[in-house]
Amino acid sequence: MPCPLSLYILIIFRAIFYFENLILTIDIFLIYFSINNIYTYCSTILKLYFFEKNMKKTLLLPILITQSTLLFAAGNPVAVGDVLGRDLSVTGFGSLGHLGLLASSNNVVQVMNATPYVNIVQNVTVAGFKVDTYWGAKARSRFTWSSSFTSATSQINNLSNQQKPHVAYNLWSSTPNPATQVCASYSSSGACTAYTWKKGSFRCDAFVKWLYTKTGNGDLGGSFPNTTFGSSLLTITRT
Amino acid sequence: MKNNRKLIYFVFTVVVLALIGFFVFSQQNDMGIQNDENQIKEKTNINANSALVNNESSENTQNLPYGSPPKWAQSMMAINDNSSYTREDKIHKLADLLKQNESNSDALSALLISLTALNPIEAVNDIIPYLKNTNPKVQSAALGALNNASLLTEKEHELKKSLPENEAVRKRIAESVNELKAASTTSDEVKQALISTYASTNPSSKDTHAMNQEILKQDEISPNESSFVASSVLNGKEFSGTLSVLDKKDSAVKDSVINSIGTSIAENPDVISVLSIQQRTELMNFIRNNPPQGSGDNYSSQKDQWNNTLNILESRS
Repeated sequence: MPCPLSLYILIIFRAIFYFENLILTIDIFLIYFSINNIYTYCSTILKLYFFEKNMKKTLLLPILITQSTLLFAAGNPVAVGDVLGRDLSVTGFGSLGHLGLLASSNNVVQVMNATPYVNIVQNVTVAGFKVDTYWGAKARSRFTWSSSFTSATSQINNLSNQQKPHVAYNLWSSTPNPATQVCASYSSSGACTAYTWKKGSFRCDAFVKWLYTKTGNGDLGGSFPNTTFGSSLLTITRT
Repeated sequence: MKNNRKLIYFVFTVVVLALIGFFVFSQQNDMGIQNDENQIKEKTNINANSALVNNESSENTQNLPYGSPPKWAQSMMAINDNSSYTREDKIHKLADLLKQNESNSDALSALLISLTALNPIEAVNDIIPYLKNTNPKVQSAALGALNNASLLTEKEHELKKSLPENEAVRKRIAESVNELKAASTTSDEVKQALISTYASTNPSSKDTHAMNQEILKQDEISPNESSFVASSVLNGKEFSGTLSVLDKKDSAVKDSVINSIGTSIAENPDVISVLSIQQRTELMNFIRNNPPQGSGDNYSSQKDQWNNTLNILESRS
């Protein structure tokens, strides 16, 4: 799991105990438990390199700067279809994470725990998405969409509008459960005489996964937002 | 000075040890969940040829969030994931859980949403009281559960007709929803949830007419309201009357309803089959005469949807 909190603590300790070699050893121990994203990985590699160089005090400042830069390098989304990740704003479940999808420039579609069948599907700005620790944005090499639409934005907006009045938020399932229309009555001859909506439910990651499959971009997989964010389909990390 | 230095080292050591303990604990939790997931994957493979309900529940087992879920959530997932339970077993057990968690609105919402997925016509009497809950989320979740409880059962789909005993239950749902609709204490957000479920829970011509009139007298309409109007038009109810009232409305209202009609048709093109050839032509002309008037991304999306809707209608006329 991305664990920027540990890095923040690390930097603060670095600042306080700048001249203590002991810190490097502890650093590596802490980093060992927080490896799971690219910047902590890069940071660890750098540390190991300098560790081998006998922990020269004069190199501590560049390490600190590099690490700080990497920490804040969680990039913004740049193209429609980019998946954004951040900590979940639910006490005790922050590390579970929260995902959204860039629907158009500075417009992120996301599923939130709000009033069922009213405002579960929401659109926010990129800044509005970053209300908790931001993980960054990831992308597929090429985001496709159905040929009946002129852009990915159009299809994403239409799928979102279609589901908005008919879905609830389900924290306990990563499986997409979209609302669908089913026959509500039959004539005496057995023909359907009315259709109605069968209500569905999504968690944030389930909604992003569903949008990906509906637009023909494949199954992101994952059982949690952070594992979906780590999908092998998302090969590009925005910087 | 030297004593101070020792004190700093001591405090620092304590903090570091606490941090290490925290990270080791987190790591163990993560590993525990990973093991759970692996076990579940194996279980899913073993059950690959089970009935549909069983497959769905196996998938749901993979959804435990990090940390320890509350007891009610563990019980709820144990019910949802148990492949030996029938749909009816699950409904009754979830309904029992509802009663055990009366004071917990998070639990009530989640349990009602779990029930919704099971089309719980058997638990209607257990669900109806939650329409009067003080929490809007619980009320809205109850409306969703009653929406799906109103749907035709598998047996009714097989017979292609509704059964009298189920119609009696649906009548109770419709009456309870109308009570909520009429109550002065019902909040605006619950009213919106009610509107999104009204086509299923209250399909009578009388209720449809009343709701359409309420919605169409407004100058602005919400996505839920446009979805309701779209459903009534696509079901051929109030067809010509609604189109003629809409024709006199502001372009934003027309755009919203036409977009809802489009998203419905896109989700399931079979919905058009309900309309007569004459109604399809009338609808097509109405949509053609009212291209979207918005701007920006919204305009492009609406224009695409507008074109797609016309294409589907033309191909089926």
